[in-house]
Amino acid sequence: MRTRSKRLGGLVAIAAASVLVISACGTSGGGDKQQSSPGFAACEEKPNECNNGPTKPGGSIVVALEKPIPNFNVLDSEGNVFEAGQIMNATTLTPFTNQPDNSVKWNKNWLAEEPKLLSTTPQTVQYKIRNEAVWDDGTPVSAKDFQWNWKSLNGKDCPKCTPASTSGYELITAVEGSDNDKTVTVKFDKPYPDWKGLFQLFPAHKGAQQGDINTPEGLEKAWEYFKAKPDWTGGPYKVSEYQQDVSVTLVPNPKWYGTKTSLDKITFRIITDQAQQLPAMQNKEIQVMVSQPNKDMVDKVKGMAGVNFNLSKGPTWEHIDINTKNTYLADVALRQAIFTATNRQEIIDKTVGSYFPSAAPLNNHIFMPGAPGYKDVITSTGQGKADVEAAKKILTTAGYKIEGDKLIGKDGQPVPAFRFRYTAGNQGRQQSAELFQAQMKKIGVEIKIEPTTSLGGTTSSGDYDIIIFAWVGTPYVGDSVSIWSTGGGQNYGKYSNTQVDALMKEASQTLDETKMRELFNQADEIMAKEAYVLPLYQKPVFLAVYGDYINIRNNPTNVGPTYNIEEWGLKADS
Amino acid sequence: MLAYTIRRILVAIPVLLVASMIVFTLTLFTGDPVEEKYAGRNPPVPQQTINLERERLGLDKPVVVQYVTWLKNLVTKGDFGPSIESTRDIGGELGKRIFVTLRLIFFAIVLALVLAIISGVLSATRQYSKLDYTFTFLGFIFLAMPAFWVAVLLKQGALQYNEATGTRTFFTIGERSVETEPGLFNAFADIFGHMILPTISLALITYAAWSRFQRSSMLEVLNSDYVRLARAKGLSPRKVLVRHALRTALIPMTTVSALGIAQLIGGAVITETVFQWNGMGSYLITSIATRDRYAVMGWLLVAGIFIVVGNLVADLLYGILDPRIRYE
Repeated sequence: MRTRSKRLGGLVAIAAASVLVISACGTSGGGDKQQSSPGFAACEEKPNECNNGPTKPGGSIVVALEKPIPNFNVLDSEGNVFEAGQIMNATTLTPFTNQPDNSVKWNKNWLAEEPKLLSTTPQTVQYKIRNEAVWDDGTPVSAKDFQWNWKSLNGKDCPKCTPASTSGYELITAVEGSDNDKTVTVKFDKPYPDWKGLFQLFPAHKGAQQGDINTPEGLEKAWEYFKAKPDWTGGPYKVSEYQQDVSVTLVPNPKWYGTKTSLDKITFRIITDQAQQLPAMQNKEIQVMVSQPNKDMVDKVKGMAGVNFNLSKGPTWEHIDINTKNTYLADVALRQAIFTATNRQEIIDKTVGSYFPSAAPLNNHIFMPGAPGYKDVITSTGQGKADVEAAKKILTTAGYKIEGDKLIGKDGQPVPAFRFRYTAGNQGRQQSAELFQAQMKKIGVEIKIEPTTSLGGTTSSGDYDIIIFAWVGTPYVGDSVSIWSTGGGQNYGKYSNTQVDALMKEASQTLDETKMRELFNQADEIMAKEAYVLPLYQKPVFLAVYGDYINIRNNPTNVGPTYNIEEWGLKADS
Repeated sequence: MLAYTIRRILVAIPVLLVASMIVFTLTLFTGDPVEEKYAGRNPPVPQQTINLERERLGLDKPVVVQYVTWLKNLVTKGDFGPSIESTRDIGGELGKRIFVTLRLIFFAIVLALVLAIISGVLSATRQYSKLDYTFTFLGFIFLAMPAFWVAVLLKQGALQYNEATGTRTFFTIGERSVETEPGLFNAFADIFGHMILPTISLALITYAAWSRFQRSSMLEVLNSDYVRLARAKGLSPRKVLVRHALRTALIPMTTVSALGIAQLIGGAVITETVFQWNGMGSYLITSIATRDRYAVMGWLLVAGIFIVVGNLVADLLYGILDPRIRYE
């Protein structure tokens, strides 16, 4: 009995000591506002080329994914998620790839030349496929693959397919092959300026093995077949193993004809709790993590030896929206006053700015800074600059009165409190809401903060007066029309302006890029003046990689860091 | 006893039915799952896709029809209903995950029981000694510590150990590595390396409460007349403790731990999330987040069955351990 208690006593001592040791190790240094570690130092200047260099053959890497793969058909409404996209970037073929700086670049690996616009009336686009381009069973990549893509996604030929989007495909009238099916000509019914975003090729011949892909049933079967673990590839890597909810393993495609790959194996490990990626990274169970960061994450990674990291501005942007269906907020003057009194810099400084010093107010609803077409349409409106006096003036001119800290409406009655919604559990948004609440108090506008557990439900039902959330932008701006047009599916705050509608419609059918951008900006200037949505900032995307690897860089667009997976490798001199 | 068992099981059926109805009703208030699934997509998801998805999930039918269809398919075909993720089979998922969770909680319970009994008995036999105070102190610490914090602390400790020794003895995520070195020993070491932290973290929290139960029940027994009699008869202290006192003092422990199995299925949620085990706990979290209505109901049924069985086992064991109790 005596010995046992001694042993237990010893255990207790060890446990107590480890708790002390652990708590001492819990903090990590790095309070500085650094955005990139040495490996990524050039990324701010040259986002498309930074962290590049020669690789040595062999090696493996483990990349963390934040969500499980719903299915591998990334064209499907369910499979079209970032995580599945990271894997399918390595197996499918797209004519253009979104680059880290949000520009697009044609894909030299499988196309013989840059796809060109042959004619504008009707719009005709020509793609020339390299003769070497084959699927891993030796079948040539051909016009048939384009045709399968179009038929499955046009919303007509396959009524049972569930595409994530039919945008553009529904305007195509014909996809024709010539030159042994190596030249593909695509004709459109109406002009579609975002044509570069179309097509992501899957092997049509594999789909055809499931049923006749000239029939709706056959197309549906092929659609379902592509949801399963792909036993095919047309890209640099092939899926060799898939454990649902756990991991996906890629090995080189022996028939790959493009840029030579170096790594022998790439494993994607699914870690659904963001906080758990950090210890896994420290324990080298993963070597790459890509995430929407928070201060704690950035600080901890800074303290990890041998890990390079980078924070880049992405096309996802945070904003404050007003519901124009609210009787009071239907008044433009009140909306203008609210946005004029809003202090964007304070919101940025106290949230995202604490770990991402480059965060800055965003001044356009359609284009991102750096992209052709970006124009500041907000500054001239005076919004977002915490100009309380100007806001008060707008209100009094419009017939409002501010008595004490209460806003009195034009009818002499006090303006009731507005419900400000934010995503429950999102700390940054909660803080933004609280700051906004305090800012509004200065002009007598009372804000009642209410979190929502269902952002989708809240937005689509319009169950808010004011709300904060983010839009995921792409280089293809035409998609955003439904956010701003009258009756648009994503125009949650029911903004309506016939002039904006007309400009947007014209822009979305203009093939001349310069003119298209000009039209969008004209519409945006009107929208900005009418104070419907106040853009806050572009959200940063965080990438951390062990320094032994090269050619891995942040791609904050929806394509993600695997956009150049064929170039990844171990540093030649490591 | 058989008749009693059957009766208890039959009583459980309406209980589970009512529970499923309540959960179904509650899920109705959590918002439209399809809307949530496609929220904020840019470009927007076509109406055709939304309609097909609503049809697949039966959301186009009246609420009562949805519930009755679900129940009918469950009873007649063993079909748990469509998951929000079209390629996922809820029944298969639950079947797979329950074993992951049971493996985790089995070892955690064994460890917790051993720790609780040892510390409980030692505390009781040396009441108000330094050892008793130490165990009491530790018990309350673990009782007060949130489960996730214990898990995170253990993880940090393991990382420090790995770094200090330059090895990877402990793993922080998953039930096993995607790939292990060949050989039986390596495979075993890999599974062990993945299991040790989650098991300890779950065991420590459970142990804390159980050790208090064990201590008080032991104290009660040690002060009872028959133990005094046993001592008076001149039996050795060891015999009195082990054969007479401990056996009786274990009775409440049996009930507590049998009930604990059911509770731990739910309690493993945090441990599974922190250590990224694909068990029942993490499935519940994911299903709630994605408004996967039928998955939540399926989860509830499985957990409900375990609670019913756990309660039954506790009652039956009680009868076996205490000869005064017999079920008719």
